Amino acid sequence: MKAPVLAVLALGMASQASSYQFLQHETPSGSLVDIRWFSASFPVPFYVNNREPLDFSLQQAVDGVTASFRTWEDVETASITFRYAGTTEAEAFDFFDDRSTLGFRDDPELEGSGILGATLQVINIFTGEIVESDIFFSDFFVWSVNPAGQPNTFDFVSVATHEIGHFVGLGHSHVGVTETRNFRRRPVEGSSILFPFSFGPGSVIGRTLTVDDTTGVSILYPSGGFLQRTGTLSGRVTKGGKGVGYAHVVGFNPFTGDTVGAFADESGDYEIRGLRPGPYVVRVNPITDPTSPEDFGFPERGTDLDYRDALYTGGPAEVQASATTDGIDVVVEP
Amino acid sequence: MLAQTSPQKKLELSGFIGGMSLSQDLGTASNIYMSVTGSAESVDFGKLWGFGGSWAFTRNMAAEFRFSRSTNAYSLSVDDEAIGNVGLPAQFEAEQLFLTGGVTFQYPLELGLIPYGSFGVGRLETTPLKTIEGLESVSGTDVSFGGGVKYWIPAVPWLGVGFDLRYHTAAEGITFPDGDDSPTGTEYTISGMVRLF
Repeated sequence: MKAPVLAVLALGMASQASSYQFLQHETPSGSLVDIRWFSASFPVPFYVNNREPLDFSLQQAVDGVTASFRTWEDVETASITFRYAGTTEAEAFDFFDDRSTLGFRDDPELEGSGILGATLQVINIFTGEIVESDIFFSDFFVWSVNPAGQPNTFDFVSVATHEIGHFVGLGHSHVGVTETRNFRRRPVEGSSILFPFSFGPGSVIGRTLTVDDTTGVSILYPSGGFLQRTGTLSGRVTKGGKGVGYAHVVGFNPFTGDTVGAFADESGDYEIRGLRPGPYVVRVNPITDPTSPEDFGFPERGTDLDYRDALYTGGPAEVQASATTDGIDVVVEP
Repeated sequence: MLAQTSPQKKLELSGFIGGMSLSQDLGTASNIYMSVTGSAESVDFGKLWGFGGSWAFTRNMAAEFRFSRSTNAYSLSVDDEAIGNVGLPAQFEAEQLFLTGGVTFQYPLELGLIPYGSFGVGRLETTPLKTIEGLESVSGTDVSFGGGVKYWIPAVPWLGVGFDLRYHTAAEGITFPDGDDSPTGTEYTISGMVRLF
């Protein structure tokens, strides 16, 4: 018998994220589980819709998404693998067809929405297992697969890599700093590719995963002793003695250059997992423009954004393998 | 009868404690939010201990070896575009193991004090006290020079005390990936000594 399932939508360059950088689901029994593929599905098969894209050939589209899947597959500390299963007449977002399909979409509702692409998962509501994941790309943008990027076009491989991050179960990351380019806020190089906004036309930065991205997929699908070789920082973000819900916390290891982020829960408690051992600088910031709490799945109202960026100054924040360094508490001020 | 004096004992052994004022610029590491610099901090007396020995070839010259271990704390300084400059003292610790061979030149004075100067070459190995990914330990040549004074207690002539100060400059120390600075430091110790044979 087929298990009851529930569709969970990860919108465009916005997603249903919960605390931390993972897509999470509350089961009927009330437990919170990470949404992920189970290893019995590996290699996860994916299909490509057989409609010829407007800006390049179907084969180039297949090659592009295959390269994007390989980018995630090549993360040495993660075990998930993928398999191209062929083209299909099924559309991306044909739900419950047991086919994870990627393709272009020309829905008029997308015009002017700013949505480049979107990912949808179908999950088992009792376990959080992903059983199907579809990705569409909007036909209302001009796309390119040029490895060097092409001016005034969006890099198909970069956007596919972002969406495949959702495909595997990752939510949006707030590890990113933006700058204004061509009158629009764009993340700078070094920002997570799961930042809710695209790097912009002509850029292929989004083809390369950051440590924040690889840490996320490695926590979901650990291999090579990843969880044993890494540790956790945890603490609480407070303002005026009260916890700051959904505060964004970043750990930076100056020896490795690793920058990994996570969100506090609604009480202000946070933990950053998957950190390589060493000393860390811990930084807290609110969700900032141009992103909004909704981009990360948090309530628009009730998410405190009225505080300044702050550092943890209470003493050493040293991560040890297979251990949690607790008490890394940060006080923020309006 | 022949006048005799007890023969000079050639072997001296010592144990010592003290401190190490280390100077080490770890370099700069940056991400999209901040630039972080790191450096060693001076530490208090008691963070260094060791032992050594010497063999006198002549009244004024001896071969020497020393082993010493010090622990030093390292601070980070953050330059953040939004937050400003923030110092983060004592963020991690590392141990320094010095193994030195050298020569000393000493000039016994009539009032019992023996001032000396020393020069040594050896190895410095630096190891973080807690694991830092990708940084097991760093070692390199260490050159040291300095001096001090010894005093053999007249009532117990085989027992002595001393004070020693020596400067170290080493080829390799721990740094951030882009750092290239080498550590230097001043070791100051007090010692207890015995002389044998």
